[in-house]
Amino acid sequence: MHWGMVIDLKSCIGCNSCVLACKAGNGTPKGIFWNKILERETGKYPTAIRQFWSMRCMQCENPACMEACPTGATYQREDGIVVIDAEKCVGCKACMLACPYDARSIWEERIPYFKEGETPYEKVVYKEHVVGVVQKCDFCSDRLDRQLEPRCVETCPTGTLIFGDLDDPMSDVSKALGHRRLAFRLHEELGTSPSIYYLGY
Amino acid sequence: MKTKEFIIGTRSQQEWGWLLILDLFFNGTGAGLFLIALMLGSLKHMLAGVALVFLATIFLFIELSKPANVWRIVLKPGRSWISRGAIGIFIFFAASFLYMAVLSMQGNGSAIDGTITFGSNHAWQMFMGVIAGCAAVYVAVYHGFLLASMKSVPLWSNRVLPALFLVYSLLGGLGVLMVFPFALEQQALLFSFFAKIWVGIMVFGLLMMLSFSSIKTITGKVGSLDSAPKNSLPVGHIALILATSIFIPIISMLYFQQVGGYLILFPLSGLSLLFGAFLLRYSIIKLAVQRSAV
Repeated sequence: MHWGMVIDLKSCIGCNSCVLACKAGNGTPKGIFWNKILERETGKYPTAIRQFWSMRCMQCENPACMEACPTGATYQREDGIVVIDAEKCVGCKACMLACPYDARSIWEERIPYFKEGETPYEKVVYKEHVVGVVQKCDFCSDRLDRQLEPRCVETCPTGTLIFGDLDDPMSDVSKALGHRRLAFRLHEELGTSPSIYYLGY
Repeated sequence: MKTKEFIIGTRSQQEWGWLLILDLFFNGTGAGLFLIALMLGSLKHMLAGVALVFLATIFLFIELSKPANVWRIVLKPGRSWISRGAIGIFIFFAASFLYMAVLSMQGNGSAIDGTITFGSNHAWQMFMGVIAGCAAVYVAVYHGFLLASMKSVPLWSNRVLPALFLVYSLLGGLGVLMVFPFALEQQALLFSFFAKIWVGIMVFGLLMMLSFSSIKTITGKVGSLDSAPKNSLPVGHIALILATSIFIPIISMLYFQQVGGYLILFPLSGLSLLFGAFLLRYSIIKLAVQRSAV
């Protein structure tokens, strides 16, 4: 079992549904995004292109963050997902600097979204987060353990995000990789071997 | 929410700031001072070196957002340079205190003529000195290895960094000795010692800085669409570091040899050296740019 994702750049319309689904489902604190849509404009009129790149933790096979972590707080599950044990994190931020994908954030201060104070929702969801600890996407491992897809994949209206077991040749993600051209991973030269593939424009 | 956050591109490193710069500076200067004091056989300066490394450790401790977990930091020496560094610092404290304790019990920790350390007939004492010295070298270089292991920052992914940190640790140690020349008992011997090593260290430092500025690191083109961030310091910073840590001290030392007046020139050269050693750490940390995620 090796969970992975294929992101079809041509299908992404930059609607940010995945970002909102992640924020709402995981209750990430203000200013913290476990996934995000990065934008770029290339070319010139009349051939200008606006690109949307759905970004999250790449769940690397050789995670640079795990190598940097001095306490063992960052570790890899058997299914390839890289997770953080908040109890063990010392908050040195070395993993944030080691990650070439800028996928990690640290909750430095408990600041509510609104000046009136924390909403009842925030009070509930913040129980899942620890101030001073680094956090990131874990492919919604709580949902995977219940045979459910990650929230972002479930929410995506255009089918941009394809998720599944990379070891299973019959999975959607393997089929997407097998049938399409131009699949690539980001920063392969660094040897991190990400579990997220992109299908180019 | 900042809109710019969601535009593809490089960004300045913001995770590590002033506390880490102070940690790098005092850690390196302390280790360098200890090494030079070991060669001189000056117990007082060894103690000062250890105190500076301890001060650096405090800055590192404050930097941690969950300091209660600090004991876990030594658990992964097989893969993490922070872990290895923490273990090295513990060994340095233990070895240096043991060595200084032996020296002070013998009551000869104030000579600087070299007879009590490497010239000693006591093999075991020499052995302890070598262990403490090796630990100090490790403390001086490990930050270089730590930064060099950070793949997201091209400026740091540089093979020269550990050697550069070692040289600037020695220069920082020299700087402290030059700022406080009266603390050493035999100034003539001190100057003789400087005359033997400072030109070598400074020339080596010059070579290291030039190498650091010229080596091309992994720039991140394969499978990525961005242009990689610069992997060298700005020319102005390099020039200022070289001027303060190499050229000004050399010129003033030559002047001192010709004319005399070390009362002023020694401390001024020392301050200049310390400024250069600090500026190097400041520039490496503050000017680092993380490669674009895409």
